[in-house]
Amino acid sequence: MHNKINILVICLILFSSIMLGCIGEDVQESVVTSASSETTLEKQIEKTLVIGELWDIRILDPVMSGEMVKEKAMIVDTLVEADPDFKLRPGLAESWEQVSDLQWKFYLKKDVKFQDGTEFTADGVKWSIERAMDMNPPVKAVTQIKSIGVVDKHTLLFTTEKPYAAFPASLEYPSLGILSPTSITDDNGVVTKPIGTGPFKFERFDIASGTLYLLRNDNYWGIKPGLEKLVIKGIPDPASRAMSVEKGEIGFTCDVPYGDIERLKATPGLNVEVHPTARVYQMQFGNLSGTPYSDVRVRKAISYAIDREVISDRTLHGCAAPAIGPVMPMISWSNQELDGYPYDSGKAMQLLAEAGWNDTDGNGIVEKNGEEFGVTLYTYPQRPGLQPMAEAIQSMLKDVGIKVEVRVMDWSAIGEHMTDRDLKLSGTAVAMVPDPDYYLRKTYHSNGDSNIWGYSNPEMDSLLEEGLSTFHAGKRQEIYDRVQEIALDEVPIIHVAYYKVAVVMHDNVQGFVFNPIAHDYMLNPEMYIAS
Amino acid sequence: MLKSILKRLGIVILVLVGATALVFFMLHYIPGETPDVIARYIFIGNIEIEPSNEAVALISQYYDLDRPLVVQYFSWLGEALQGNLGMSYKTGQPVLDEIVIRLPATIKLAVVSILVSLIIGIPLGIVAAIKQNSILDYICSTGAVIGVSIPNFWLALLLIMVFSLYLDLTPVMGSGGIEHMILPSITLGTGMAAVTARLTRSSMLEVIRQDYVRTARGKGLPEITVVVRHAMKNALIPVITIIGLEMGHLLGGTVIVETIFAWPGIGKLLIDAISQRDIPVIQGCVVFITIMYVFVNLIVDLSYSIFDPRIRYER
Repeated sequence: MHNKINILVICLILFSSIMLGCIGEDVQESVVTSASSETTLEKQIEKTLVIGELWDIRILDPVMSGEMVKEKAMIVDTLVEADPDFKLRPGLAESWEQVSDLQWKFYLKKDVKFQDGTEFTADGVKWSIERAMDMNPPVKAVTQIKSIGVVDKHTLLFTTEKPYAAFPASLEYPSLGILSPTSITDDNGVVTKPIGTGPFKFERFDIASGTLYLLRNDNYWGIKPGLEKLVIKGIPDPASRAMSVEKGEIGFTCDVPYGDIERLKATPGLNVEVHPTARVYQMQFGNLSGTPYSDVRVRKAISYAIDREVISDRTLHGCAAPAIGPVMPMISWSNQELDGYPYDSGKAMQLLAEAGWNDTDGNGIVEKNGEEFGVTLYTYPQRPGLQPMAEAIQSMLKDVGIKVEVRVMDWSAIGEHMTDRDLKLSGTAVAMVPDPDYYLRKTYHSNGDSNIWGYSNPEMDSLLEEGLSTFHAGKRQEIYDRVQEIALDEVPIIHVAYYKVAVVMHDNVQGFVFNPIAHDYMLNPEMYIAS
Repeated sequence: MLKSILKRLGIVILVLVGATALVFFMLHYIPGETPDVIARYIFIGNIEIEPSNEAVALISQYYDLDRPLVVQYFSWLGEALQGNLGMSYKTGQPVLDEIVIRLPATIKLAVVSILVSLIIGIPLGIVAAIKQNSILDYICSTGAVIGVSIPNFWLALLLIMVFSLYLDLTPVMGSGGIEHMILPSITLGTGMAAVTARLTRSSMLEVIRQDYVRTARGKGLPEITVVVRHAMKNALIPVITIIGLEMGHLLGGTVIVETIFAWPGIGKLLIDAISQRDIPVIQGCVVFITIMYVFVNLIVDLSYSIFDPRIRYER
């Protein structure tokens, strides 16, 4: 008996020592500091803003996590920035000029220093951008950079693979946030302590709880930041974010559950703002040939059958706006002349009838050649608006005689289940970089990355190619106006609603300006906490 | 006994190879091509954006995903047997670090949740058994059914509403001090407490009818001594099994509770890694969870022989 107890004790000691060994000192310390930081937080509440971030924070290298490091933590800046209407403005580059079809000269700001006092020079920028292209393959595709030359201390010469009018805009891509070569990396070359030129500098990062602590950069080249400290906490669950902001554990968050918005609006001390972003809810057809959708009248009928007002105001609790063309009107390159497809179920039925779809047996579903119009509408769970929207569309299409079954599954599984006859509802960013080429060419060019439904129109293709190599702003706008016009007229995909994001913050958080160029939300140095 | 322990540890290696191979090959049957998923989740950071073919090809090459599956698996296994679990695709950090950093939180939550479940479950089970068919028994049994049936995510949100928002007693979420552990451990503990209570009750009912208990009563021992000293010790053996299984399960992480309370545990690491196809992290988690299960079960088995001398291990 004693022998057994001895062995059991040894096993238990072994087991617990493995576990304790794993715990290690660093972690214990970090847990303690994050607990004590919350008590000090209350004292310093006037200077510190705590952000409830949507995603877990795991990595601080802007190349891999540009949206966090640039748009939220504001540690790094990019050479080019964009205003809320998506017009480009100088960032770390004071100005730029096109030298030839393939070459661009960028003149850097001269009075800028990195947060550790290192001088900001063309060599540093070249290093930083080349590093991003090496580490993140999509960056190369977005920028089309072939080579970077250093002309002098503050001038760079970029050469692109082909004529690329969207080049300056592509430098706004958050993965291209400029890092100081003195940034601290781990053994694998991944930055763990980013040093940039932005208004806030890295203080520390608690990996275990995914909390990032930032301090004001007093040597920032722009306006003096209004906050002394910024704490960004990853809280992936929307309901937890809503309750945390309600209780005051965080001062700012966004994307709370749609159903909570009205309650939060009514809560004293909270300020809820709903802003449009550069994302669109769109419905895609499985295939445009060999299906009922090969007839443009059917595509138009479906578009007319959708009541976008109801979806935006009721289904999504006001967190969306009815879509007209592919690009939302707040974006400077949107075609403002478009009319869209206002809800008209009568017209939808008429168009279906013209295309040969009639309800001959009186069961409420239209048929053609004895075959009923029944389809599956696929969508995925990651965006909370999609499923209710899909269900609303289901009932709207039923009203015009199209039987729709809604299926929600992981996006990668959709690809395997969806047939040519089916539909898919998704939310898509229309401006990962502030240039019309990005979304329109991917979506409407016959070789576009997204164009899996097989849309092909030679006029569209040549317009989109012309847009790439047209450098005159006015002529370029004419091209993209025409692209949007054709896109709306031929309906290769249906735009349902423009995405809006609900930002919830405490009343004393002031100076926040929503910039829709952000991928989720973007903080700005003007933010401060009113006493 | 020592021999049986060594035998067990030998089996661990086989279990590890089997589990990691199964997971590795199954990953390729999840819809979505691995390099495409990695491009979307890890490099673009947005699943809705189609990566260019060029980028997908580069990623495939970079992570050696263009080699045959079997080759990929054995090269991973070869490294792993030398103690190198590789680097996370997502963060570029060693997988071991990624797991170790989340261990303390996972272990703390698991231990406290088990304690909560025992503190609630065992007394309820005993009371229900000795007062069988009384109103108390019915209340306990109904409570247990409700406890098992309440979904975690719902209970978690309800607890936050009541204790954090209305009563302002606990933080909504996060990790750190003891106050942060209260709600997550109650959320996890209640469901398990219900199972523990039901098991304690039925096993207690069985034991309490046995001869030696009648003898103890016949000797004129007070009821409390009969129940605690004589009946309970034997009645708890099945409960230990359940504790072992639950401990193994909790150490493997509890995704929903971790997500709601922003609790930095293993479960969320694994689930995120699966959706992002961060293969080294997935494999590392599988190795870790397997080891945990085997260890916990070993301890449970050994403890039987202490609680019940009738169980012996062959020499």
